[in-house]
Amino acid sequence: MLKKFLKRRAALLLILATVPLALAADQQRIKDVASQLMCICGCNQVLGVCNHINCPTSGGMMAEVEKELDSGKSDKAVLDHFVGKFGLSVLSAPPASGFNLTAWLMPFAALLAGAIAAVYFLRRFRARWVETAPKTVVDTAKYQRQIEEELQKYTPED
Amino acid sequence: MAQIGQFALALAFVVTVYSIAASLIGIRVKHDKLIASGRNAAVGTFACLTTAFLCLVYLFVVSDFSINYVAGHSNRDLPLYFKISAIWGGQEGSLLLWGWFLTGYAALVMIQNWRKHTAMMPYVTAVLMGSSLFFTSMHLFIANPFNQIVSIGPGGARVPFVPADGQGLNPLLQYILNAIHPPVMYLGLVGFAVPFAFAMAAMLSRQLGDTWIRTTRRWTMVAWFFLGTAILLGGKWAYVELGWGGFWGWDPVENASLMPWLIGTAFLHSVMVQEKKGMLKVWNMVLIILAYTMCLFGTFLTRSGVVSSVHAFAQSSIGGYFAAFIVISLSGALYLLLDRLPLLKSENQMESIVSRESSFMFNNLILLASCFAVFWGVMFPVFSEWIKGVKITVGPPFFNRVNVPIAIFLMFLTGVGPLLAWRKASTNSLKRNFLWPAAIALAAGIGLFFRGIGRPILKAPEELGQSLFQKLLGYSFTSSFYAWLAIIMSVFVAVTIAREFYKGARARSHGTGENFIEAVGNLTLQNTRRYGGYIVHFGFVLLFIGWAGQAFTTDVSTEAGIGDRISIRQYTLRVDKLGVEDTPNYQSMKATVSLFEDGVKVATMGPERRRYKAGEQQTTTEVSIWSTLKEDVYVVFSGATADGKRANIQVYYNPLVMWVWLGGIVLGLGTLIALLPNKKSSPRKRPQAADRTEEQKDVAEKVS
Repeated sequence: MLKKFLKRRAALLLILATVPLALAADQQRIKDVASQLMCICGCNQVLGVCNHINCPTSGGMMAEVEKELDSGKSDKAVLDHFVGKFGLSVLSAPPASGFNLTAWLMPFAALLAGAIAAVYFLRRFRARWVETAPKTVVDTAKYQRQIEEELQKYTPED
Repeated sequence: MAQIGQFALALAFVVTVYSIAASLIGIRVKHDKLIASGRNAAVGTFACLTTAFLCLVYLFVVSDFSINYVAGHSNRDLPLYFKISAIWGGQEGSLLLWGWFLTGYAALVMIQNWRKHTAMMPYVTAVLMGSSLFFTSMHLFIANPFNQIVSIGPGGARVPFVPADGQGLNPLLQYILNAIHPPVMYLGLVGFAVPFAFAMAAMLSRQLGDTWIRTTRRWTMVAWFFLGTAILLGGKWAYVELGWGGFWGWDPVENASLMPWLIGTAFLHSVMVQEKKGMLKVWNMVLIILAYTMCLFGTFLTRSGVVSSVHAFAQSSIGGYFAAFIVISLSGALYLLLDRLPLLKSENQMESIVSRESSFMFNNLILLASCFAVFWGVMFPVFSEWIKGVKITVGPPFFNRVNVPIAIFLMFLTGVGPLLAWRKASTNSLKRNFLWPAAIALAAGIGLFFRGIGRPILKAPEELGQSLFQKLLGYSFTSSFYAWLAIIMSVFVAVTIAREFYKGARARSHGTGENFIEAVGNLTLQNTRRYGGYIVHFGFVLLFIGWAGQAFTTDVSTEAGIGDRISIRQYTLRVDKLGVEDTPNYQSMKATVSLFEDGVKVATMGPERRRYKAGEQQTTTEVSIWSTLKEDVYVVFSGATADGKRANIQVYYNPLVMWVWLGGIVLGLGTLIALLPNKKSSPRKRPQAADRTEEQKDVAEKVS
């Protein structure tokens, strides 16, 4: 009997403990979605960040995000709802599709192109060095003396 | 006084035109006196603009509201220091400040370098005065700060009009750090005109050695220092004044100042390759042209209204003029570069891909990629509207997602670069140099991971998009993961820097008998550029850690009555009082809030909501911040309920923000040290070969 009571009690405690967690998760979800939307008051701030005095829109938009999520919609569906209402500019970042995909791809394409160019030039510089490098045996004693002199100064240059 | 100012502006314009003409004709006909006259005229332009600027200061101090610009940006009850800072609170004054700084720099350059670089200096004069001509024309014809207010009287006659009071300064600009933010920003932006002018002069005079680089290296550092300081001051202003809890919002105008700074950083690194190895000559020209162009582009963005920004107060109609000036400067510079390409050949070649030269090339690549990503993000809405006719937004999520991985990789290179020797790094030195920094960074990473930092949380499959790229984006890592990586890289760089100081100081102390602290001091002062550079890198480490803390920011927003408590992490806030304060400049509603940490009272905070009396009677929030090394508690009071009994309070818990400001200070300090001339070394005892340590061997390898 006692065991059964304790089991029920534990189950109840577990349910009660998960309620605030669920609420916290919802709050986090609202924040996540709000961070993907812009406030449309003209402040040029992300909805989740806009808190300026007398903002005519952020309160209503946040309530709408909450209402849409409460109705069981996915994050994407809620974002689509706002796009349908205000246009693409309500999203805080361009969607990764169609022409807007170039927004995401170009920086990395530029980085890749730059990396290819850098490697190309490095190889060219290196090839020229191989061509022009002295073929005779290097007089290491000379460099050893130079090292000694430099060490004496203890002031390595860049 | 306004008439004197007007006259000084007109004279500045005439003298600037004369300076350009005298310099160019003097070069053409090889007439030394004419060239010297052009130089004197350049200094004279500075004198004229100084007079004009002082006249404007006077008009603001005495609140002469007969002047349109004064009436539009000041009011009688404004404190004196804000009356002075109001000079650059609007278009006309800030342009005058820009022009004044430009001619000031030009005068300094003339005095400093005239005897040293006789062949190049007339061209430098012509280029700097060419830029100055644009600004003096703007002062005189487009944005004249001395225009009077006139009203239309009977019969259409224009009669002077003096309003009883001015419109006041934008309340957002009534913050002491922001009062100095614009001048510091201009000192940075304008500063890049000097290396640009020397680069152009080097090409025009065909003196394409590294003289122009050596001459302008310090100037570039000065400009870079001011620009970086201005960016941080702007961040501090945004943090304290805008009240949204953050210091960097990827606003187009913030981005506009970041772009030349990124290119300037690349330039400061790549000039070392030219100085040391005679390589990357074309690249350095490209970088300085880009850096100066980006300085102008930044101003164009701020002023033109091409993109939406929180700096909307700076918008005006002069964007078109700036665009034209950018096109002319850029085309001229690029034409010159293409024409002189055959003269810009490298003197040396690359011996190994694993060398400091190549690490600088990759450092440049990453910095430029980051700059391009920012530029692309800023301009993409404009391109989208032009090409597709669709208005879209590119906000912080884009910039964070694109730039954060790039920045982390850059931090990695910051650690790697100084560990590589010039020409070629041997495998042994790589092992010696990388083992400990990498091991310690890895240990820190593992420790943090087990404390719950850095776990990448993936999105649910149904939340991912359809295309492969959307899926990749969806699977990108969490901010906590990026923060974790950033901290690992920061630890790696910090250990490499500490090791460099330790090695150098130990070797020095061994040979000279100085104690370790003395050795560190003397080592730094005798190699200011190298060790100042390390201190700058350490400043970045601190900044990076502070930035990583933003991944763990949290906030609470609530309505609280007197005695109510608000909890956030280990802190509790209790609203004690709601009161009203009246000053000549504004009326304030203030909440008095007690802050408790783990139940112990640590501070009394006073966030306010202000209504400024002048002009449009704007309202602002004045946040209250409790700042420690670990975190900031940031309280915003956005007003009371209608019955005046409850306060709308928003509390942010922002970890590690102070590290950002400390990083900025260290960064500035490092730059100042790097600017110092090297202290001359005194004769010292020579070490015995047998006593030589591993560290000395490293040093030997690097200097060879």
